[in-house]
Amino acid sequence: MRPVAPLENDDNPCRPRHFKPTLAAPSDGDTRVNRSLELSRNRLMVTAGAFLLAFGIISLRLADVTLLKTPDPEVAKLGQPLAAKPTQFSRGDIVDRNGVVLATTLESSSLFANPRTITEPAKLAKQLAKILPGSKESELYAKLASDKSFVWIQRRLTPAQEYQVNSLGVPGLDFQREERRIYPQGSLAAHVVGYSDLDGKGLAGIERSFDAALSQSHEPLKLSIDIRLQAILKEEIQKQIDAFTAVGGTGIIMDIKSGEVLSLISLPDFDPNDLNTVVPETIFNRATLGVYEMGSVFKIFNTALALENKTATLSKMYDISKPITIGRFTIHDDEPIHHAIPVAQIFAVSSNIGSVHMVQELTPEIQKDFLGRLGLLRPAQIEIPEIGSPQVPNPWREINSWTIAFGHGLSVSPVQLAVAASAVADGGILRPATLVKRPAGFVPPGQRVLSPRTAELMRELFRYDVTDGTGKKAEVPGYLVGAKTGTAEKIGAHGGYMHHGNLSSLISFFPMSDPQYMVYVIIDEPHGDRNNKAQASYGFVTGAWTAGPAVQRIIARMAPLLGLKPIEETPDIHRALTVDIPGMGPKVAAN
Amino acid sequence: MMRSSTFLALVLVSGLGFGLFKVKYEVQSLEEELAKINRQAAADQDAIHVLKAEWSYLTQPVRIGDMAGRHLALAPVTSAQMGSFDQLPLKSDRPAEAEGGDVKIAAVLKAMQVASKPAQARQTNIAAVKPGGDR
Repeated sequence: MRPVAPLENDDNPCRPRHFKPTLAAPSDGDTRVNRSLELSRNRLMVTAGAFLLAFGIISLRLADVTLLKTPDPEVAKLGQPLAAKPTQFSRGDIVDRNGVVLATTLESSSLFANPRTITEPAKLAKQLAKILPGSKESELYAKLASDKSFVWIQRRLTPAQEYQVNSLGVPGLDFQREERRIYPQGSLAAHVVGYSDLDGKGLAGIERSFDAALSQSHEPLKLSIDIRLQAILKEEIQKQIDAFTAVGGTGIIMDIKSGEVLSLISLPDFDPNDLNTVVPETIFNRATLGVYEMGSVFKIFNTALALENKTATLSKMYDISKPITIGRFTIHDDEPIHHAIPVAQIFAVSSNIGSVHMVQELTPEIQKDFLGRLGLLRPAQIEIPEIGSPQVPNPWREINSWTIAFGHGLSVSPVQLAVAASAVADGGILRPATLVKRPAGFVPPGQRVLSPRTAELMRELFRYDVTDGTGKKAEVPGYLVGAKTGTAEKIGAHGGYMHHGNLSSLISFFPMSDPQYMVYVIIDEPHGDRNNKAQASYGFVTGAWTAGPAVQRIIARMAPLLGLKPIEETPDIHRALTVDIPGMGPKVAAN
Repeated sequence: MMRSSTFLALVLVSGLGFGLFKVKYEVQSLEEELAKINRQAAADQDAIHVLKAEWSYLTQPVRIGDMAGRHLALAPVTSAQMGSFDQLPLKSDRPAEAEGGDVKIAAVLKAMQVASKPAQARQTNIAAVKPGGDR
């Protein structure tokens, strides 16, 4: 029997459509099967090619990503673990010009308890009272035995106390992390740095004026203050306050080229770590908030005014033999001189009468305008909030102009006077003072208030006052110190001048060949005592005898500290600093 | 051909797998180490912060002055002690060495005095000031 050949041309209309004929070996000429096999193979090849291409692309990309490409830092960061950060405090540090920490924030812990979980309150109270000084056992017991679930035991423990409490191992006690503002230098820079309250809010000084900046920035704020000079200034002023049983004192050291205040002291002072010491007497900043009639140091401005307006020269003679009477006032000199003397000597012996004669040749308006340009009639501009407003006479009459000539009738703060006098000594250019460190070598733009020639003459006068005048006590060999003394009678509580309440001061500059530093010391109400050896002043309480020795010691200590070599007084320097008055002979020459 | 390529692929896969495994674990341990170092650095920075405050407290100028006064035979530098390099004697100024290489101290001092000019040309007699000049 012949096998039944598959039906080729299906002519059977009843045959279902999906019927597939069984495969049989292709017969010759059966091209249909061959064609379908060919097609499958082609399809397979195309698919394999597509896969090959895809894998090829992937491997190329892999090689590119892993071997050739440098990783994108943003993407690379994703896979890394989070870097641990040091503790961030809510307030930045304050440091001095050399980076010594003046104010910083430390972590501290406050102890609290859950009395409900405490089993032996009596025993625990006894133990805690031992660890925490200043706490009473009975009070602690009352807290621990209460039926609350939360009581504060003590805020801000020291690390040692925290350790001791932890080692008790009592459940129910726990710590809350808090911040605490610390002033490692204690009272030394108190009036500059100021202080802040328990919540870290600045209440005085830099802490207050830079409150916002300190709480935003984590960079330390660098002040212009040098803590070493701060220590020297404080020690020397304190010595004089003690010797003269004075009520207080203040001092400023300034770099007059840059206007940076290197040291600012007001005594008595307070410890910003201990808010109990912050009382009105100690918090009062005499250097910036206190305004005083400064006395003879004002003759700096009076003399500069007369020289600048060319109504006087250093050698112009004034008769100072007769006191000046106006109304019920008499202006006289403590040590009258009964003949005429030149301007240079009026400055050096500090004659009130001579100073008044000099200002009489000028109008009060010119004087007021000049003092205004020196910044003496408006509050000082410096970065702490404790700034006193000068007491300016209104109207500014002739009598006011006479008394202001020798430093009475116009009250200014020591920092105002320091800035103005520095302008006179530093070539006649007024530069703003600052408590924040300036970049090294930066000289702030200033305002010319005196001609260079007048400033030069004033430098000679400063030096002359030390070599031949009232400022001799401030001389330090090798540093060409120039100075002016001042002693003002203070106004008493009931108005009128106190005869035994003086404000004695001395302002100095060095080296006078090219003034770089200003040292200003004021002793408030020194009391003279002939028999007190510590005073060494024969009972005198003037600026020369009270502030003078302090300034001398301060310069002698600070100059080597700042690396200033002694200056050899060459004939050129000597000539430049010597007051030249015809007819006065070599006596006036600085020797 | 087919068999050898399969074999090669197997070797490659197992090699790469092992490599990947090793690198991954290495990275993991390095990451752990990095995190540890980071934590340590943060802790150290915290410690530095506290130590700086403590340093400032312990080096208060007054405290250092007191301690130096009690324990050291040193005093603050005075202006007379300051000099410069040109005040030092040069070798050519040095006196002839005595036998055995010893330099005579007196001769050296003398040479130094010649080389240096006294810094203070002038001395003001502070004690000679008449009292009560100021007002």
